Amino acid sequence: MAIAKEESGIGANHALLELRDLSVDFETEQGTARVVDRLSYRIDRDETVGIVGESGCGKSVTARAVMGLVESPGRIASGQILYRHGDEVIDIAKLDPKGRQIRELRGNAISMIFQEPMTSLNPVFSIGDQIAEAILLHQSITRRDAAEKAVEMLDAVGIPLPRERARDFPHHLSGGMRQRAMIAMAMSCNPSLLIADEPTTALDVTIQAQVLDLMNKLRAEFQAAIMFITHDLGVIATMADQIRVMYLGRVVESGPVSTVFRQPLHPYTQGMMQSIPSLRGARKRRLQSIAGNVPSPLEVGPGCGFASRCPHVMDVCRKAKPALVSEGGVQSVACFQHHTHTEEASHAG
Amino acid sequence: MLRMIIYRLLLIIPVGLVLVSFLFALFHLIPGDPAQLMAGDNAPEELVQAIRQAYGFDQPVHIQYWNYLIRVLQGDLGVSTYSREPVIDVVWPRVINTAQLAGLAMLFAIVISLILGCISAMFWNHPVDKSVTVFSLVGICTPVFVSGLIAIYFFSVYLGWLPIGGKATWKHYILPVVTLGAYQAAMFTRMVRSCMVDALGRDFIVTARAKGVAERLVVFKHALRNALLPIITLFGLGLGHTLGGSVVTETIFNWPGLGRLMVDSILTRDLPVTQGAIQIFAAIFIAVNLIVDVLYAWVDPRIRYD
Repeated sequence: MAIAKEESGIGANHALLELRDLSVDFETEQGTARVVDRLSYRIDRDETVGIVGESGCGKSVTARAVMGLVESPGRIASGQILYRHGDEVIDIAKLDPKGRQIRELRGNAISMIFQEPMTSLNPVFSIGDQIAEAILLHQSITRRDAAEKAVEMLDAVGIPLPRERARDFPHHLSGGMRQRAMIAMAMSCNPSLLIADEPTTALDVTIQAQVLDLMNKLRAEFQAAIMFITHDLGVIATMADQIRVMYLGRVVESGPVSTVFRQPLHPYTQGMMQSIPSLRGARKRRLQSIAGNVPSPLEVGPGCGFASRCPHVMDVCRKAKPALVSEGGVQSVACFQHHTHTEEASHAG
Repeated sequence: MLRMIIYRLLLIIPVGLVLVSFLFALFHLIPGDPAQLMAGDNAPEELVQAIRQAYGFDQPVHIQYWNYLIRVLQGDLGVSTYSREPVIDVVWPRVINTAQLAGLAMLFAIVISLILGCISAMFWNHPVDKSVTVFSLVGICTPVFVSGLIAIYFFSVYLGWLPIGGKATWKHYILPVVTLGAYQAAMFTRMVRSCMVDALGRDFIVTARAKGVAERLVVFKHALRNALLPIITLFGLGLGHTLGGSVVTETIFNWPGLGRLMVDSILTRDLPVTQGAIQIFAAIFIAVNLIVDVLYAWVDPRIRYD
């Protein structure tokens, strides 16, 4: 049995998932790459947390880690993934990734939708069968009832003629419809946490808006918390309550979406905000871009990961990593411009 | 699905027509006078003439072709010039024997390759995978006439466990079936492994795992069903190879099958039997292809004609 202890973060009644100093390493021929670096954050019940960051910042790997689906050559190096399941708290990081316990959580308490609806469904099974499979795995009902439930789920995600579509195969459906079917599959067992890994990135803009609307509707209906992973700040604005900005496997800024959007504190967040085109405001303003590229996780030095691209870089930034420290209550930032706490100091204390 | 099967059945007509016509042309292009061959080298001219008339060799080619087509359609394969029995009576028992040999060898190859291929893919790049790879490469590189002779020497001559050849008891089946099957198993294992590695790397495998599907079912339901598409084609082609390979295996193990009959009939210049054997081989090929196509459509919903 996994640990079941009551502590501050996850101990709070409304807390659902808490990552504590989670690190994920990938073994490569050039050495060990730390893709997720001592990551800590919490997701509460019914809350939508947007995880933003560019490709390779570790946001998808974090999601896979929560599902217990980190694949070789990756592995969870240290840390805890505490998940509140009923009355007990389970450390997912300690579960056998192929064991029964994690499988009982997957698709049931925690489910996931993916970026590529075109390839995420199995081409040789009908849509209805694939949804019913998830239901049969976690609920003790008959095949017939599961098939009926699958049709209901297709109806709930707004697929017209759900009974006919359930008999269809993935290749009969468009990308948007397939993503709806994926959502139906993910929601079929009433999960308390839905992980959405860039669910709209592969869809065109109108379909994207429809899928986001649907997710907002279902969130209220099913009362699930959502971990919404994206690199699109616009999507975060319409979906999320909380935002976590990730850079090189760490959270550099976090807080409520409205606060962070109004007043971004970290130079990386500021840079991202300035790169969004605006319909209003000065037309002639050139869009800003963030100079340089994300360094490889293999080349991370002792200092702040953003130091090489930061316009406000100071000497201290190259020597120590800043800790994520609360600034004025709800918002936290990991930047020496705002405080002098280093990672090491905060860990020692 | 039904429409697709009917369509495929209709396609047999042109394929069969081309095949039969080709065979007819081939046997008319072979140098030598068939009537002279039948009668023997020292036969009197009257006898040769009589045979020519009896078999219709004196008719113009297009008439012969038409008569031949009619006879084939009626299932009349002619009479053996060697044993004077109807070809069908000579060929049919041999067809059964070869079907037993090839069928058992294929079954052996399919079962072994599916097991080894899936294990290999599950343990990708692990020593288990590498030893399977070595086994299958050795299998592919060893022709049947080498492995067959080694097996005969070891199991029949040295150990004395199994009979050298012939077809009497179940013990006679073991060596030819395993020898013929092992080569196919080695080929199939490589293909099953690579198809499974490919299938296990697809996005929908992650979806299945994220649903909570047990690893065993992820491999044998979600991945295998997808990997089967190219594998079934290979199995179909493999049956062709097995039938072809049975000519060598039957000769080595003195197996009274169609392959050996064909070799014997060529040696005795028994053209009607050769022709009949080829037609039966071809019919089996066409039937297997049809079955493969239907299976293919059954496994992959994307290619059903609906």
